[in-house]
Amino acid sequence: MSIIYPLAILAIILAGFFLVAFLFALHSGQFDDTQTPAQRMLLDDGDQTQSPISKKQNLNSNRRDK
Amino acid sequence: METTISKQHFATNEAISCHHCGEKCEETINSFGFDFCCQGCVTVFDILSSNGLENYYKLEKSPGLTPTNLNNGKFAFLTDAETAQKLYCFESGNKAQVELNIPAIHCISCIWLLENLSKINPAVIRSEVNFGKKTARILFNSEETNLQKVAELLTSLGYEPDFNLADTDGKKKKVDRSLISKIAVAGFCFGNIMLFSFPHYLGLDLNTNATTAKFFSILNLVLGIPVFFYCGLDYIKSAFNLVKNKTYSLDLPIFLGMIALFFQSYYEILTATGAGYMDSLAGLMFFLLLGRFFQQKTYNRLSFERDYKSFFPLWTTVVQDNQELSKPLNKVEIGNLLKIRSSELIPTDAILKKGMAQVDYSFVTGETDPQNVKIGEKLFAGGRQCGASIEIEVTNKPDHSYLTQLWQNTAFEGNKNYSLLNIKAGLFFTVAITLIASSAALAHYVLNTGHSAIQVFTSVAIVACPCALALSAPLTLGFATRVLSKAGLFLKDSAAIEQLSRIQNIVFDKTGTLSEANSKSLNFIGKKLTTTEESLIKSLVAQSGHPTSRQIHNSLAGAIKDVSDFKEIKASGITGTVEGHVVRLGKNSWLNQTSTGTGVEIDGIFLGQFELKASYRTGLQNMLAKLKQKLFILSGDNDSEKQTLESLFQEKIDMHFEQSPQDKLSFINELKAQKDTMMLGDGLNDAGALQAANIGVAVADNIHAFFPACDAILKAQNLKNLDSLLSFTKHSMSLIKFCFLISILYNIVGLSFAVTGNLTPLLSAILMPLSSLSILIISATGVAILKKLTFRNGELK
Repeated sequence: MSIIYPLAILAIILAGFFLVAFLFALHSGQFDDTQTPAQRMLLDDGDQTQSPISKKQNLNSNRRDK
Repeated sequence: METTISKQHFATNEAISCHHCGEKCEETINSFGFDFCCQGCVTVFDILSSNGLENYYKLEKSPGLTPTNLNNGKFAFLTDAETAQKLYCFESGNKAQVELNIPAIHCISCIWLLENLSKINPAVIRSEVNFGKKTARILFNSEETNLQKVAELLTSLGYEPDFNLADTDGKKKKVDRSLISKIAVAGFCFGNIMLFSFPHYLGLDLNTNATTAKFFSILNLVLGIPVFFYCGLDYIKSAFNLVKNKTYSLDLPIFLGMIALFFQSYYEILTATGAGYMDSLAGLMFFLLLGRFFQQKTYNRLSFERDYKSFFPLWTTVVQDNQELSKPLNKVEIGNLLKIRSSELIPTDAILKKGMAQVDYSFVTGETDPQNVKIGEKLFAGGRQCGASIEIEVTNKPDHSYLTQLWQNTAFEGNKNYSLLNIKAGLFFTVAITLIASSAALAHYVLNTGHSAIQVFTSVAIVACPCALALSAPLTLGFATRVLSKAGLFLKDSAAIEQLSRIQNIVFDKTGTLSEANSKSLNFIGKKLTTTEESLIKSLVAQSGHPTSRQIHNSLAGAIKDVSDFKEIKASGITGTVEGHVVRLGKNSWLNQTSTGTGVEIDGIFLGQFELKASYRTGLQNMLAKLKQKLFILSGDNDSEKQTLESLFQEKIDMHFEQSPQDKLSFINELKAQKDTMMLGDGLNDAGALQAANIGVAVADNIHAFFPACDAILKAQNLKNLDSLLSFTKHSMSLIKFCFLISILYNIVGLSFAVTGNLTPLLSAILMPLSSLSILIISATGVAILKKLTFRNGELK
């Protein structure tokens, strides 16, 4: 049963690690704006000059050219 | 794409809508294969498409905004290094970052475009939008571009940044995240302490398993330290303040409970006489902080503390040796010559030197008609110039003007204390707990029952700790605040609900509050106009810049035709020839009529006159009839609307006209001395009255636009629900009282154990979360039921 002593301490260190991670995220401002990221994820990243629709259209027109 | 977007799109059945802004229009400009409403929209489309940003139009249909005309030199003040420095969030080397307020942000396309600014101007390194706060944080290369150019770029795209004096105060707003981190710590400790207390709950024997029991208890003690000293910090501070100021609130008995729990646990564990109450302490803190979190829901988009500085622009144009210079407003000196362009604000008291001034003082005085001011006459701060550009000489520094004197008034000092209930309950509980605890301890001591007197004292303090009571008010108020915000009433502080429920006098401002700020309904009295006649009159007034002409122009239908021989006769009227007909429009006396008003004459025949009437918001009559409070009107305007108002209020009203801001303030102070008073207003002229009243409510058409400092903001279209809103606050207060009763019942049960000396840690650990949870459930369901009962007719949106 004596294994429970180091295990309990390990458990609390592990949980404490997550608490610290959360506090770090909180104070670095990651939870300040909860609205914009929700909208931003709907946008395409990478080549932002073209939406998926216009990319397809371009491909189609290229094929026609050939 | 389905997203929650606030912008409304117009039905496009008949009229063609602009590809850029969605505005319906009759005449369109066709260019790039799309229809646009104006050249401004075409320009934006051109900029975007030539920079490969057509995606803007694919994310959202017609997302754009018509750009405002870039007055040359409008942002010239940003080149001033000192001003720019104050606006920067940070600056290092050739990089500078600025956070700009952009009220026009409204949809996903806005986010996309503003975050791709670097495609248009490569000197912009990164931009990030905060949709909730309507701000954009822009990082740019300060060697290749400057703040002025960034602001001009945004304006040319229709996203004009909003600068005001308060931004340059140098006070950087700090985000307070301490409550959430306290909740996180309390939650962490609560969970772990419960886990380590489990062996005790299951009957771990202190004698046979002494080491194990001691090990877990010590862990609990260690975890209890941050709970008491960090999470409980606000309660400790508040308790010391209360003792210092000799006042009471519920924080005091809570603090007593905390001390009893904490030190009793230490004593029991260190002397190995018991398991301690750390689980109860952590649970108590966790629930209390959670309650605070619910109550503290703030509207970071709304600013309740604005003063005159937010109203004035940051810069002004100074004329020096025939040259125009931009100067920060706080550097303007007496004697400077300022140039005020059309529709700009007069920033300080001044004398008119050049030009024709037509000043709209409606925001400052409540008067609706623009005033004509002649050269050499005084102009006051806060007026808006309606006519062409004028030049004025400064007679008072901006912070000493007539308008800003209002802010020197004592009404603007100190905070209002809303919560009487909290103070009463605090006093009651502090006295009751001390009495019961000491008499129980004394009884045990005298009767020698075998229980330690000190232990009995602390267990009473523990169990009587009014945590459920302390929770019921913040939870109920927090839930109710959310419901009210859905109904269009935004509170600065949820404790204002208690104040609202006690209101007995309601004072209304007229202009902008009861009536709509910028729309006056125009009636034509006389012969019915034919469409040809309407078109003739419209063509004539289209030539004139007079405010009345513009209103007549907007109210008439018909095509605009060419006008010849147009003449504007000062202080009389206008005349011109349209399609061979001589049209004259102006004062009736000028048209040789005996009556007063603005008449119209075609080919020498008098047709009738236009009458301007303030248009009142809809649904007022019904709401006013239901209000049982005593009603007043304080208006800065003249009494021309008296009869309309009397019929609207069904004569149960006390009206006062031509009230200066100072008059309003003193009137409220007199009323307040007798009964609790609520003031509803919108303009700077109400600022003093809003502050002085027990509750000042700003009525705003656009909650992001300017309104004076206040305790609550009411969306103008929800004014008609004022009666429901007030009755909702009353019922919410009854709900809190009901929760108080329930929690007192819990306390009586707990006390009966404590007084007899039979309180165990397990019992306390069950009783405390149970009472907190039942209060949570009662207040949440109670508010939901109230909401259904009060707002039956779709008043929530």
